[in-house]
Amino acid sequence: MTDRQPLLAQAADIHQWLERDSDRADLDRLKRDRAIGQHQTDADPLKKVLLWWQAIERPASADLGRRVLQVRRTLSGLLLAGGLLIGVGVGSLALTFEGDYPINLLALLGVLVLLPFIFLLLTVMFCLLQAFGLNAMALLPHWMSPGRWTLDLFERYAGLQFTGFYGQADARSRLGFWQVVVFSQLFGVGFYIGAVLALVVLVSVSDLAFGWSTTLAVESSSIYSLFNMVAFPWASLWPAAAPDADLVEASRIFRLAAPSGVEQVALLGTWWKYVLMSLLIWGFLPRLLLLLFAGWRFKRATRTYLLEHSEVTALMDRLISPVVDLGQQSHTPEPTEAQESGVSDLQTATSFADAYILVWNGAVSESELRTADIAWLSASSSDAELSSVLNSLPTRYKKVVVFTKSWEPPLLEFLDVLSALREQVGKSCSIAVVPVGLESRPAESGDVSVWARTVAQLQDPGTYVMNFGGFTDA
Amino acid sequence: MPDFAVVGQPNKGKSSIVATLAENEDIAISSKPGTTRKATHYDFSVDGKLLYTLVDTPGFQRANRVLQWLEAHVEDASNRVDVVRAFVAEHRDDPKFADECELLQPILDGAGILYVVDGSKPYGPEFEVEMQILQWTGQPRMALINLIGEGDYQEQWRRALDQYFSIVRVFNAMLADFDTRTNLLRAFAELNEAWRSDMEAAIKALRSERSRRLHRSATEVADALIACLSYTGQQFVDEGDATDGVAQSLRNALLQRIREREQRARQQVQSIYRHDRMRADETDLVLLDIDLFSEEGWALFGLSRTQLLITGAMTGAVAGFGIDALLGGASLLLGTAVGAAVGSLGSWFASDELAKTKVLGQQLGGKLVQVGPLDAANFPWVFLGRAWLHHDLVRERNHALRSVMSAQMQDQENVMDQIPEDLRRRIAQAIGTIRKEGASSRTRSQLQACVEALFQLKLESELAGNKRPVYEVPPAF
Ligand SMILES: Nc1nc2c(ncn2[C@@H]2O[C@H](COP(=O)(O)OP(=O)(O)O)[C@@H](O)[C@H]2O)c(=O)[nH]1
Ligand SMILES: [Mg+2]
Repeated sequence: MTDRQPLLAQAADIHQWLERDSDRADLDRLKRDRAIGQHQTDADPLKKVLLWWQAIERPASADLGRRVLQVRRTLSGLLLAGGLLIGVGVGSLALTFEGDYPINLLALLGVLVLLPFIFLLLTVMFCLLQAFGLNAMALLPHWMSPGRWTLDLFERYAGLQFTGFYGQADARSRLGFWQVVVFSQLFGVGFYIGAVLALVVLVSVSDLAFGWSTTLAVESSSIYSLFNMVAFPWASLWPAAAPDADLVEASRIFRLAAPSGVEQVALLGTWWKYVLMSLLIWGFLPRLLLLLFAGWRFKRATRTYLLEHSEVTALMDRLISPVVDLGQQSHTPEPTEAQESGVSDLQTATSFADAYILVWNGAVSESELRTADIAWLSASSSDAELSSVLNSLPTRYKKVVVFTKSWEPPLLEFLDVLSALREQVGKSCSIAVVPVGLESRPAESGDVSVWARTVAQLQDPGTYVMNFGGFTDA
Repeated sequence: MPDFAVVGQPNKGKSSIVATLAENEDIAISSKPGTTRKATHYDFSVDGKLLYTLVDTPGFQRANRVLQWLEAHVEDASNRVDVVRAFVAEHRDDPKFADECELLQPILDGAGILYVVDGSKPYGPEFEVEMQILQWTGQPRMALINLIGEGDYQEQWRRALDQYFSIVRVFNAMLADFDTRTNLLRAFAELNEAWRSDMEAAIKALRSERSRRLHRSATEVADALIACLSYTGQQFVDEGDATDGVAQSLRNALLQRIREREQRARQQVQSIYRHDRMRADETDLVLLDIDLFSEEGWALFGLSRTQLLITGAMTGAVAGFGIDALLGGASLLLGTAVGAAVGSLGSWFASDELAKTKVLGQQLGGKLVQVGPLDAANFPWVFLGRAWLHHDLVRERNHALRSVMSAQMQDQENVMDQIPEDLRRRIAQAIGTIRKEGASSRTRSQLQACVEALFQLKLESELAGNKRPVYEVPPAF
């Protein structure tokens, strides 16, 4: 990705991507992310995550972040424009309200500077509350701030949530709060730009006259000091925009005596510089500063917002943890367990009198067998032993019983012996494989079915497995 | 890099041992002999650096034929391994000896031998044939006595194995715990001095991986709990409409969301421990399957009223959500009094006590009904108790086990009784702060540390028959 998106957009995309990714096996994610993290030298977690985000392979469309940005930009623009329009409206209304009379400075500054300034102080207070760990957002009523309303819209259209019950300490809440301040100060900045515009235009195209009046019995000297106090930030820089005592004295207006004469009107017109500076210094500037401050806090909050997500915490861990691979990579599909062949339909052998007996691997002990015709073979018998046993097999038997250890699995070498036996006895003789349990007990059915299944592989109907019923007859 | 070939007859648990050591739940394990047809290599590596390789092999099928061939072709005792090599070279394409070639090849390539027998079945002299073949290869050898069934013939086996193997160990593929596994790896290293450093590195990596997993699991669980504590449900209704039904469905949706979050945390923990394929349907956790919001679950995993009061008073948490919520819920959740209170408890779960309903007036002619967040005092404890038990089972579960995971609790045990007072206080503190202020990075890591400490504790319980904890739901419920 070449275009460096703002952090908030990246955060939204990263969170969304990681949440969708969380269905993948942890080891796969560990291997993938560690491969990227292994070569990262930067210790800053945010840089690590962003570098990872650049390196990770993912579909190019990053819709959420783009949408978040778009919604945020649109809302910011609307707020600024709305503020501007209202600023122009309120400004021109206030500047033309008095009709033929000069504009009352006290009322004008009260509406355009003092009242908004009180709201500004309240906002600062909420910022302080937030800084001291109180849930400012929960305390902030909707009516108090256009930013609070806008945040609702932002949440709705961007699909993010900041105002849940996360609590003040939660990164999401903090981000939401600073977004509210940014939104509301955008509105404020727009408002003052509008008001200043209105002033400048009206000053240029009409002759404004300013004065002051009050019903209270106030000395003009104290009004002068009030005006002076307001003007102190710029008085020394631009003396023309600061009132002097004479001007204040001369600007007192009584309803009954409308100002007259070109001179006096021109004199009263000089106030506009003062009004302009009041708007700029007490209205525009603090809001601009608060906007910048909130923007900076917002950026910092975005950083924590990005990092304090459980999936991002997990990602950080994957970036720095060595992949301990115990050999899980090869994926052999589990074989489907073959149907257990039924053991119940196997016949049970209880009498061995009519059969020749072959004991494989010492499956039964000598003392338990009373028949004369027994042969003993095992997996360690030599070829010579095998052929001598087979060759000396009496021909009168129609059946050979082979005792085996039921608990051991049937091996191919045993099947070899069965085949050799078949060659020796001919087709008409039956061969019964009888798996015997431990200490000559009946075998477990699971074991017997393993034998039955294996012996069936010979595809010799005369060779079959029988259940062992014990040595009852002997 | 050492290689280890796991050899032996079919059905002795070779694949099971490899599955446990390689933590691989995909290795085919079956009671059907001859399931493994090819030698499969499982590489143990750290960040791509190979430390050792386990080779799962098919079993011996015609050991006697092989030995006879070897004996017939040997000229003098000093070149026995060459004879084995000649055998493999000559029979590589012979289907008769496919299994033998598969299992001998890695040994001829220098692998150490891990010979597996089943010590629960009697020894028989026929086994000596394959032991001899292994001896012919001259490679370092170790015997592992696996115990598949009930019987115990270890002594017989040891007497026989001692003659052919320098080390004989009992290793139960299904029940071996972490220390047993690392001890076994250490024994591998004893086979050959040159392998020691790699094996030590592997053991060290296993240890740090184990603590990483614990840490990650604790973090997942802590984050899940934090999320659950913040969930709410909201819905607009028209001014005139009743809110009760809406509140009820919102509450149900809220509880469901919390259940799902818990389930997701479990899945994450399982994945961290490489048990990805063990899905919910593969668990038969009598205990953990109890609904998150049910009487018996809360009695088993929650704190008793006294404990709640003590911890609450100690941490000042009571003030946070009101003595009402604390007692309203807690008084019904006594280990001993549950029997009497079951009826009322049931209604409690459906009532407002679990998550408060608020009706907020709205300007647009409607009102906003909001349920939650969950403020029942005992909920975090129930959540953590369940997560603790689940983690404990998953961590100690071997990858050779293919049966369903099960847990039962014995008697009237309460999981939370086993938490030391001091840890309990720390947990209460962290949760209290999070409920009040939300989770800052500091409180979040506090809670994570608590959960980590909790997960490090071994859940004590009467062990029934099995080496792993078995918990049983008390019949009273
Ligand atoms: N109870 C128990 N069964 C085991 C153990 N090890 C293996 N088994 C069982 O023995 C059978 C054969 O295991 P497997 O690993 O496939 O043996 P292999 O043929 O030697 O690879 C399977 O049904 C396993 O479930 C063990 O330690 N305990
Ligand atoms: Mg196998």
